[in-house]
Amino acid sequence: MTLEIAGVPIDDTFAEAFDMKATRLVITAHTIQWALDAAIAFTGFATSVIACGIEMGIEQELPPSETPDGRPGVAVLAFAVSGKELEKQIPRRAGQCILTCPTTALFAGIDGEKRIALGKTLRYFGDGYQISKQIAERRYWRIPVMDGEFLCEADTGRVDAVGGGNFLLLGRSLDAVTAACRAATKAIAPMAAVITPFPGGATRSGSKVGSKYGGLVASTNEAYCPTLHGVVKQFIAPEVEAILEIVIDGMTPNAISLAMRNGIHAACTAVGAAGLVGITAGNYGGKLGRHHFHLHEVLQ
Amino acid sequence: MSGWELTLKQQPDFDLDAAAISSVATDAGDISKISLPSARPDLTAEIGELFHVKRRDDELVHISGDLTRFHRLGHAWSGGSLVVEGSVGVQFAAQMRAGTITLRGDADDGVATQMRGGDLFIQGNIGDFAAGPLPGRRSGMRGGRLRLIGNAGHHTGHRLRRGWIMIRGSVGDCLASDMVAGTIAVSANLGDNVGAGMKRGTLVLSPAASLSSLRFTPPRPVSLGITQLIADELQSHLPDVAAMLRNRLHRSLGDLTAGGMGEILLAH
Repeated sequence: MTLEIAGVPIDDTFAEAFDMKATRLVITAHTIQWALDAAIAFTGFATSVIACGIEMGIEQELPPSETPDGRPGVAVLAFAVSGKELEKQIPRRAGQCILTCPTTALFAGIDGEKRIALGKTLRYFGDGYQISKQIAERRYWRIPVMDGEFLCEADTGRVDAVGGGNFLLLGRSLDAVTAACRAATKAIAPMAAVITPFPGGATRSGSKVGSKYGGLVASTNEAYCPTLHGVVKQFIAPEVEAILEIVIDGMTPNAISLAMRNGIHAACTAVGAAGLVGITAGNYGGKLGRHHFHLHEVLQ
Repeated sequence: MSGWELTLKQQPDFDLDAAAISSVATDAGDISKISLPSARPDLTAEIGELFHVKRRDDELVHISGDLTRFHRLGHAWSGGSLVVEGSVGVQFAAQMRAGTITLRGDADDGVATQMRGGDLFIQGNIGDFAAGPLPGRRSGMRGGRLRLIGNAGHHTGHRLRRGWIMIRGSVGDCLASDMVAGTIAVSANLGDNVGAGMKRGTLVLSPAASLSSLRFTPPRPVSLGITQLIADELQSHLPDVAAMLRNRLHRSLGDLTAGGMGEILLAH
């Protein structure tokens, strides 16, 4: 069966994704700019669990009416391969990137039986001057800082989620694939419950598992490197000049599915067949991840 | 849970420990035989002798009458709803753990003594030492919420450890004495010696308070993120205090003479 969107052929293949542990956090501040500053620092160096330990991104900006303290805010999603890794990364990053940012406060953005410490750990910065306050079954910590108080919820929920949803844009040129990529990430950006953790929402360094060099857990996926055309076994057409991959982490499989659908539609309609040779997806033969997002099913 | 209607036949001429009445909430059998002791071993009374007892279709326990000689009513209430119409004796809802209790009437001293959880709503005036500890114990109320439409006596919130007290009325002297943590909000008048011995916790005072300069830091303007959350919590019961919290505030810390760092939030 062939499937095309705006003349762009869609491979009959699937994206292979993995079970992850995730949390959602809400950062508020006196102005949206401070909240964004904190969120950007907090989610920095969090593109891939391969070396960052965590994948993070800004889910959405929140108006004051949707935040616990009635100030402008930002919702952030974080994904890791284990609860233990989340528990390690989140307090450390919150302490260095949110506690330090002027006027911010940090709140749990999701419920969950399993908890990840926030203020429960950060409170010790208060050196005995911190104050605990329990309001409506939630515990908050108030830590005196130079601009007033850093208000931080004691902990946040941890839930099961999915990481590694993806699709690859096979471009006829760098310009075309860039335009298609930007259109895709722009379409995904306002969606709730998903993030695209790589810079600008996309990566050029799609990887395979392992390497010829011992100790490396991942290395370049030569089968998708156009510059190696004719040198290694490849499944891409000769006219493909550049490929970008959109990687999506989501709170549910359905959220990833919807994001892939919107992203692929936006990319194809932005540049059409004149810009894209096709759309495909990354997988490991279905052996590593239990979530398989078949492109044709996603786009139905 | 079981629903019961208990209507007092006539007020007894001796005081009774009514703590055992709490057990009717989980008793679907014959509750009329439950015995209520008094201070004198020879004077006891069964529920059936004191009240007209009727089963209810719902799970509410409803008690009505002049219950001023019934002490420790609602003791250790652990779930479900109790509604009391009429004034009650001492230690009403003491050691309450969960569920809801509504009192339409006045209560004597020791309301919510060592309360641990649940929602206690009183439409009436209450005596001294509300939410305090049992004699000889270190901590008062440790959780839950006490909302009062009426006035409270002296030493309200003495040694309060956790939980919320919201008072839509006036309070006597020594509000929050030796308070350890938790939150108390008051919308009408205050007695003397507010926060004496206070260690931690939050007092939100809508009326003007004259604080001892020895005990408390001079009030200074503050902008705190937590006040919005406290305001949300107070909004339905104390809208005037909530409105105050949403504006610019002053804060004092103390009791300094006790090495305390409790906070008192006041109107700007």
